[in-house]
Amino acid sequence: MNLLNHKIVKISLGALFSFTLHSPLAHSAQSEGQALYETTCAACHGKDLSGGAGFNLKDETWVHGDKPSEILANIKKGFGQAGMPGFEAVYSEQQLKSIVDYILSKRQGFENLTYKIYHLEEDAPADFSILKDLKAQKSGKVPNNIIDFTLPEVKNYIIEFEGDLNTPKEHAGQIFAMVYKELFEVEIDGKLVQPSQQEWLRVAWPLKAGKQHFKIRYSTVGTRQDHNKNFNFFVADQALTQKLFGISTGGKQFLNKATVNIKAESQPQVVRKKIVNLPTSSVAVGFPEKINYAFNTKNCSINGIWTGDLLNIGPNIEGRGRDGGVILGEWLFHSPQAITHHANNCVFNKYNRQGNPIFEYALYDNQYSVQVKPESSQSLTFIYTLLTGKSSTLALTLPTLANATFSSQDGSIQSNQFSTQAKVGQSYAITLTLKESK
Amino acid sequence: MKFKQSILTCSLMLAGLINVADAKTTYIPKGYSIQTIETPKDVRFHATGLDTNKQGHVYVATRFGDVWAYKNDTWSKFADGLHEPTGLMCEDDGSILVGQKPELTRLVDLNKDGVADDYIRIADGWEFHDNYHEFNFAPVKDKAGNYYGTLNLGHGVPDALALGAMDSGGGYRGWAYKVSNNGKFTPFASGLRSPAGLGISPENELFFTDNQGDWVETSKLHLLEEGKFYGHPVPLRDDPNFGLNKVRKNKSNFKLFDDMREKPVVWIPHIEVANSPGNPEWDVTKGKFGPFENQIFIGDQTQSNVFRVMLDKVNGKYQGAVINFIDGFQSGNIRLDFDTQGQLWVGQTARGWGAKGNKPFGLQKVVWNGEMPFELLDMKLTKKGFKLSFTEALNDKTVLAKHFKAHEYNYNYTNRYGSDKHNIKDLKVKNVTLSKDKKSAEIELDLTADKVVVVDFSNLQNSNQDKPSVTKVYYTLNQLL
Repeated sequence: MNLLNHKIVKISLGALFSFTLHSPLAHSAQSEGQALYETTCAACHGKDLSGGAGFNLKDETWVHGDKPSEILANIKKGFGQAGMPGFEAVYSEQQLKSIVDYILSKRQGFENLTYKIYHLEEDAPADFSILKDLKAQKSGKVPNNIIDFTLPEVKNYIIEFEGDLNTPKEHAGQIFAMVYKELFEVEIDGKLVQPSQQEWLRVAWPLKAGKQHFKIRYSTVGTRQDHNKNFNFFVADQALTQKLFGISTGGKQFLNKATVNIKAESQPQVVRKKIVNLPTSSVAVGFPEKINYAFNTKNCSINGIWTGDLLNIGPNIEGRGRDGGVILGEWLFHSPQAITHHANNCVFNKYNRQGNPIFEYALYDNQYSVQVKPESSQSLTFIYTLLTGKSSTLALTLPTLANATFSSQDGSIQSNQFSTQAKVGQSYAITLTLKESK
Repeated sequence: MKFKQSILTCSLMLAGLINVADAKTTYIPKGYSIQTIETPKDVRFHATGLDTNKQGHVYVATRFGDVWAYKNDTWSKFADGLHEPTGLMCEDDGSILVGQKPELTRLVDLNKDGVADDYIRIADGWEFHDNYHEFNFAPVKDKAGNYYGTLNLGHGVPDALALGAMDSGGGYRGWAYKVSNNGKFTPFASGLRSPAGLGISPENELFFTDNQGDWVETSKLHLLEEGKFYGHPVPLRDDPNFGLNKVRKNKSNFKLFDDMREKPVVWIPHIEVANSPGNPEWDVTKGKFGPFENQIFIGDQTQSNVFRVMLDKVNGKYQGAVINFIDGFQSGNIRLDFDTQGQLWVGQTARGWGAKGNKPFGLQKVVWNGEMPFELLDMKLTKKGFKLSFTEALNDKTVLAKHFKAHEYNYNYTNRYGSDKHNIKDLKVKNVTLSKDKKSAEIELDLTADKVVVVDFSNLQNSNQDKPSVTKVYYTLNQLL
C-alpha cells in the first residue's frame, strides 16, 4: 500500500505493452472503462488501483492533479521520463474518458480538505457551541488531504477539518476511530451525526455511501495534555470488521504497520488466523501458482478459494490483533459457499505439511483425506481419498459459481452435487477451472 | 518440508497503549543476573509459549504463529502458520504441544529433519469467536498423562454476555479444560477471566494465575481443582446447573458469587508486584538456581519483573506470600521455564498490552553464579504471627520489633475493574524472637482472617550489614491457625 506522498514513479514498459489492444471484454456487464483499465493500466497501477510500479490511483494524493480534465490529459500525454507512455493515439476520446470515469469512481479519502484551529482558554467548556464566538487563529488547505490532529502547537484548542470524503459507493460504511474519552463532533452533509458506538478504542460514526461533505471537530477540553493526538481514524465497513483505509495520519500509519503479507513464494504456505469473510477455524493454504484455498477444521469443508497471493495477516497481528487478515487477491467464493460433505459430523484429525498439505478427518467410521493440487493459477484439483472404513457413497455439495466450473472423471456432478461410490484406499478427483483460463 | 522465511517488513510493533520507558533494574538479589538471548533476525519473536526439553533445547512459540527451536546457540524454525499460540510444552517423545487459539495441537517431526510435518488436533472442544482476547493458555500435563488448558474470556464478542469488561459468547470461555489421556475433552472448572498462567507443581497439583479486571480485585494465584468456581460469573452461562438467565438475573448479586468462589492462594498486589502475571514455575533445580528450592516463580507482563510465591499450607489449605524477585527486564514477562542447568528462561511480549520494558518482544534468562544472596527465604503463619526465614543469619542488633512494619487490608469483590485496598490498618508488631541459628525471626501481631498482611523489614541486615534487595512481603491470610 503506497501511503506516502513522495511516490516514486516507476513503470514496466514491458508490462504496459503486453496487453492485447483488441481483447474482448471479460464480462459484458462490466464497464468499458473498467475493462480498459484492467487490460491497460492494472499491470502498473494495480487491479484494485492501489498502485505498484505506478501511482496509487484511488487514494487522496494526486500529484498531477485530480480534475477529470487533468487526469485525461495525463493519460493522453503520459510521463515519458517516468516510464508511462501516452495513450492518445491508442484509444478514442470516449474510451479514454471511460477510463477516467472508472478511476474516479474508485476514489477513496478526502478532496479539498481544509483545517481551522481555534485557541481555547484553560477553562473553556467541553462544548463546540463556543465556536460561534471564536475566530480561527490558523486555517488553510491540507495539501495531502489527510487529517492531522497534531497540527496545533498550542495546548488548548479546537481543530476542525472539512472536506469531501469519498467512501465506497456500494455500501455505506462507518468512520472508525481508535480513541476513548476524547471530545469529537462529526457533521455529514451539514447535519450532526451521533456516534453509533463509543467503547474503549472503538468509536464509530455512520457514513453515507459514496461521496459526502464531511466535517470533524476535536476539542482538547477534558483530555490529558500528554495524550498522543495522532489519532487513528479510518473508513471501515458497516460491521466494523475491516478498516478499509486511513483518513488520518495516525490511521494511515496504523494500516501501514498492519501490512504483513504472507506469500507462497516457492512452496505451499499454511496460515491459521482470523480472516475476513472466512469463519473461525479456517486454515488458509496458498500456492506459488497464486491460487489459494481454506479448509475449515470444524466442518471439514473447503470454505474459500481466491486467486492472487495468500494473505495480509497484518490486521490480525498489529496491536491487540482485533481485525481479520485480508486476502491479497480476489475471491472465487467464500463461506457460506463451500465444497462440503453432505454429512455434517466430521471430526478433524490433522494436516500434514510434507509437500502439498493433506487434511485428514473422520466422518462416522470412515477416515478421509483431502489434498488440493494447483494445476495453474486458474485451476485446482481436489483429491478426496477414503483412507479407512467402509466403501460408501462420497457425496459433496459444490458452490454455485458464475465464473468457474467443476468437472470430474471420478464421479458424477449434477446440480452442484458430486457423488461417487468410494472404495477404501481409492482417491477421487474434482477439478475446478476458472472460466477465464483458456 | 523446508521453510522459506516469509518476506516480512521488519517493523516494530506498537509498544502498547500505556506509556513505556526503559525499564531499570531496581531490585535483584546478589549473585543473579539477566542475560539477553539474540532472537532470529527480522522475526516478530513475541515469546508466549516456552519450554525446554531434557536435552536442554529451548522451544518457543510466538504470537506470530511460529515455533522456534534453540539448540547449540542456533535458532531454527520448527513450525509456522499457527493462530497466536500462548503455550507450548515439549513431550518426551520429541513432539511439541502448542495451545493456539482455536486448538490444542501436537506438532510431530516425522522425518527428523527438524521441522514439524504433522499438525495434529488434540482438542478443540470450546468455542472460539475469532475474538482477539480469546486466548488458549495450554498445556500442562499431569502425572497420569492428562493435559490441561485455560480459556480466556472475550472482549467485544458480538451478542456475548458481559457483566463488566469481559464477555463470553459461550462455549466454555472462562473455563479450564482437561484432555484426558484417552483424548476426551472435558470442561474442568469455571469463573476464570484472563488466566494467562497455568502450571503444575512437583506434587501434581494444578495452579493458575488470573489477571486483575472486572470481578478480579487484583491479580491472583489459585489452586485449580475440578468443578470449582473462581469468581468471574460470565463463564457460568455454560454451567448446566446455572445457565445464561440465572447469571443475568444475579448480575448484581455479588454475595452469591462471592460465596460460591474459591479463595486465591495468594493475592498479587496490583502494580506493586504485578498487573498481568504469567505462568507459575517451580524451582525444582535442586539448588542450581540458588536457595529458593521448590518455590514458585512468576513473571509479569506489565511490570517486566519476576516475583516469588512462598506457599504455606494452613489447616490443609494453601495460602502464602508474594515478594518481588527481579525487575528491569527488557519487555513483558509472560512465560518462565527452568532448564536442566537451573537457568530461568523468560519469554516476553509487549504487543497490545504495554510493558515497562520497552522492547516489543524478546527472550532473556536469569542465571545464578552461586553467590548466596541475602533475602527473605520463606514466610509461614504461626499461632502468634509469622515466622520469617532468611537465606543468611541476621544481624541480631537489627532484629527489633520496631524494625518490622506491618499493615493489613482487603479487597472489594464487584464487577468493577479491579478493587482499591479497603480497611487499611497498621498492625503493631508486639514482639520478635530470633532463632538459634539467627536465620529466622518470629514476629507477634494480632491478625484477622481474609486480609492481605504486608510486612516491611527494610531495617534488617545480615552480619555484613547488607540489606535484602526486596524488603516488603505480602501474605494472603485466608485462614488463621
